[in-house]
Amino acid sequence: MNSYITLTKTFIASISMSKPQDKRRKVMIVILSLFAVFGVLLPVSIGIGVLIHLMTTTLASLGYEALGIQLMLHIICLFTALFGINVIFNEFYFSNDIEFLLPWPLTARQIVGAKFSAAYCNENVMQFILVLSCLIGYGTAHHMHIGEWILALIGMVTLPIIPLCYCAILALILMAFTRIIRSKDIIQRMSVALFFGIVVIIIGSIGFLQDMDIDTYVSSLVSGNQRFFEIMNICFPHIQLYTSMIHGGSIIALMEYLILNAFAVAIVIYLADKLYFRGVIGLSSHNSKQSNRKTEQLLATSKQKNVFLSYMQKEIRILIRTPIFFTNCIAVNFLWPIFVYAILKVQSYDLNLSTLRNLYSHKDFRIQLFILLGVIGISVIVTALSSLSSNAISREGKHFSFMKYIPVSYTLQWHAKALIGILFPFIGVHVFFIPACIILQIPVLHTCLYILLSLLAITFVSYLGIYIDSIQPKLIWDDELSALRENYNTFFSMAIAIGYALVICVGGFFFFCNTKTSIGFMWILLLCILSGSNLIIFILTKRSSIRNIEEQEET
Amino acid sequence: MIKISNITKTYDGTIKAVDGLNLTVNDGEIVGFIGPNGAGKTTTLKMMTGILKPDTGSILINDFDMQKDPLKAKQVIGYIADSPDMFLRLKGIEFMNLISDIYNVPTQDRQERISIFANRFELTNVLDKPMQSYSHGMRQKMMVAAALVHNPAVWILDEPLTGLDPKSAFELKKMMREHADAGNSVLFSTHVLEVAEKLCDKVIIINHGKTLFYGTLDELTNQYSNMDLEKIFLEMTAHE
Repeated sequence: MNSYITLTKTFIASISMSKPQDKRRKVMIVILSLFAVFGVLLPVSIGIGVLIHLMTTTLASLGYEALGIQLMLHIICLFTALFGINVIFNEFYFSNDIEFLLPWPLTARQIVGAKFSAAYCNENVMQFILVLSCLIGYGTAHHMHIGEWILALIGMVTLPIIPLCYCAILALILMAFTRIIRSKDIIQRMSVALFFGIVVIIIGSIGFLQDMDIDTYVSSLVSGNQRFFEIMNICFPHIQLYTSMIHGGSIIALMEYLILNAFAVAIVIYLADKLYFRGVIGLSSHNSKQSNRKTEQLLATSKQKNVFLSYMQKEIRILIRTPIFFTNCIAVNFLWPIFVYAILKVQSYDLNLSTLRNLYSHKDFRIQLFILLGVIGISVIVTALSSLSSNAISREGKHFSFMKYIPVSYTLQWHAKALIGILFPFIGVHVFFIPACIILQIPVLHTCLYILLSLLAITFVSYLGIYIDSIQPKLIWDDELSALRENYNTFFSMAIAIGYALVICVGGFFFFCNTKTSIGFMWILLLCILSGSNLIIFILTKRSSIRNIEEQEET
Repeated sequence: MIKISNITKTYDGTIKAVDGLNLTVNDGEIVGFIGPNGAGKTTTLKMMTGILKPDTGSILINDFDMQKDPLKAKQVIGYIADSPDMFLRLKGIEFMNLISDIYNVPTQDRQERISIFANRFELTNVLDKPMQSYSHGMRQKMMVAAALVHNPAVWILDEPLTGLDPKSAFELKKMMREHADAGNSVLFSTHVLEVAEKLCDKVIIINHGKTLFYGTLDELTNQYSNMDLEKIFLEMTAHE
């Protein structure tokens, strides 16, 4: 038990980011934290709380008042399980500390238990905030009494255990049968492909949520047609027990809920004892690909290149060849059409190709505005989600000193990293957007303008991200996933980017609707705003970013 | 030539890692940097290469001031860090080309030098493989080759012999001697006193960031008669 506690404490300690030393950076971190909390986290939490409150009030008249919160908790659990897959595979099998742990006299259950606990603590801070918002929304509508509040808070802490147990069970079973492969990289790619596969299936099948507003939700509920709900109740049976606890204060439900959680953990421990060492021992980082090029051939290809291009090439090679970076920073740029599809489905837009072509060719301002604001919004969100620039310096990790001792100016390295943060989101957005423009027969000039606006939006987020990461990069990490997920800079950057996208898109929409302005004026206005934003971010952050890199020491 | 004047480095405002250190490595000299763990050797080397900024003092590398003219100063340094686990996703040849591009090594020169280093360190068979698949020693050899590919005048090496097999260690020591004899400067840290004894023209012994001794080995042994280098080192550092 002592070993388990010590290991857990160690793993949790390694998650934390080092604190900035000087006052200037401390102030910046405080400002970013306040913005993230009050600008994004709090509004989102309030929004969720209000939604649950409304759903509870509406459903109460039909005798289903707990179903709103139940649905939301199902969705939260689903996403915990989804994101947990990557984290658990990485924590259990691919983190760098494994090779130090294996020679020690530790049991499989101690290692797996400690790693599971650390993952649980790390992954669920955000979830607790969301669940708490749901509870407040529900509690205020249902007028929960003190006993129900106590049970709700007890249950809230253990809510993520079962989704994470699913991930752990999946990882332990799959890894036990990958003895033939043995290559960490291949297995890591497979685990990530599995994650993406599940994401695509879930998002793609979200079409059944079509017409999902509260009224249709209630009528489908009354008619007994709740497929998603039924499937989720089978997958996450603890949610049903949890809602029984908060809707009536059932102590028996609490006992059952805790027993169910304990049972799930017991299965993980049992499987860890049986399967963990079988899966983890012998994993190798060696690349199976062997090249037979002779030295003469290699030397013939060794030609002098521009420093900037060579530096960028190094970044690209590392990003593409490191499975975690590839999936989280590169592949993610190409997933946005699935989300757009899901949103269109949920919003029940029934637009076919010929209608869209027709609307565009007849200068329908709504469709032009939709594409104009859409491409800017998507460009901003995709760039922020890829986090290429917001972990550009953190990714260096223990190689950070390389940036310092090479005779290449920090400005050039800063631009190279920012350009990487522009390149992949730009490709990711336009590999779909340009063909879409061709299919919709959008004039070339319009397409070029959309691309220009998108480029400006991406550039803004990229330089913003690299500035945020330069303030306090996370340079100490055990595995690549930690450099991304345990990095607050990614979150800060995403929060500001989402705020920026909302201001541009929602503001642009209301401005257009409330003023009788032309779409041409909107283009010029957005061009000015985006160019201005870039100029401001460039002027404001250049000196500061370079200074941050210059003053940043390794630890 | 390396000239360090009165450099000081404090971590977290309290821990003085280097305290008023002075050192000159003249052209044609090999200087061994010796000290117990945590003495301040790596911190000093990192300040010399521009990785860390000294709180006070100045560092001149071939007359280029590391604070005022860092790019020129860095251009003439060949630096080997204390860990060879760098950019392991790159292939050996890609890493060599990256470093060559960074130091502006022309095509013909890099091809010649890569070929020479690959042969001397027996790297020819692994150049086209990712460095992740290399052994520790192989990675260290690659770091040595990459650090020297631009033919730098000043070598700053942080425990360069760690992990090298006897043949490669012999080759590197030979190269260090050849480089110094050609009128260049070599400064390297080591814990292996025999290496310092055989290879160095001068040694600097530091502890708690302060110089305990700086001079030739003869001067050192004359101060402590009837004692070998190991005993001298233990005696000096024990009294600190």
